Amino acid sequence: MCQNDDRRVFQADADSLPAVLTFVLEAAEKAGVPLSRLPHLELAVDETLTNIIRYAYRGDFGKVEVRVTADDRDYMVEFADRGAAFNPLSAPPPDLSTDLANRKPGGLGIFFTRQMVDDVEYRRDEDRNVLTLVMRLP
Amino acid sequence: MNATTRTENGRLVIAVTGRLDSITSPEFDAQAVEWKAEPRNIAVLDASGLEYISSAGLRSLLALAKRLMDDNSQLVVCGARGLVEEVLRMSGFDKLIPMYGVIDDIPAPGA
Repeated sequence: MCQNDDRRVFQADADSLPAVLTFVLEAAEKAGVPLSRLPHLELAVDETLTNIIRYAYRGDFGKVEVRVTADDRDYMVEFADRGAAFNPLSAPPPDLSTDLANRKPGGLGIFFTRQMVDDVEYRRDEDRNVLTLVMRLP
Repeated sequence: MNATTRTENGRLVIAVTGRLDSITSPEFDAQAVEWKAEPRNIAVLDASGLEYISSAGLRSLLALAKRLMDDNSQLVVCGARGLVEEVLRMSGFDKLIPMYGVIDDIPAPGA
């Protein structure tokens, strides 16, 4: 039984980021995510939305449904889009060891997302990409 | 995001405040092309007022650091804190761009 379950649909573009963050962070606080972890959640949400805009919709118009749920153990944020099939978890990890001249900027978004939250899950659900961020509650 | 530059002891100092993310990084990049460092001297990014950085912001810092290297300068960062410091270390940027606590910790040229 979920203690809270709320969802909202946003335009998948960078201008939606502040509204998505407000929605997710307010629900996180209500669910009991410690204040010290909110910056981590903020970065994970930012990177997830940026990836949806860039790789699922590839600059086209589209929508993203954001669902926040919590139970006794976890706070979860689910992002569902109808863009091209894109599983960020299958991306190769960034090479963090190369020198400045050869360093490539790609791959850091999903790397940060995985570092910032406790679990990241992806599933293709018919024509939707569904990515879930999980934060354990203390 | 707000970025201002000044020269201090012959060094370019770039003070960046606020959020450096996918919304603000294009503006940062547009300003960054104007920044000229002294050859054979370091350029300092003062991050003490920077509250947030994402991978889009790191992309901008990486581009700036590479361009300064091509100009025979070197970018260093001072004052990064909280999430910004965490992100710079996690991504290994601290190995590419030396990080210092405060501006006075940065060694003098030739030291």
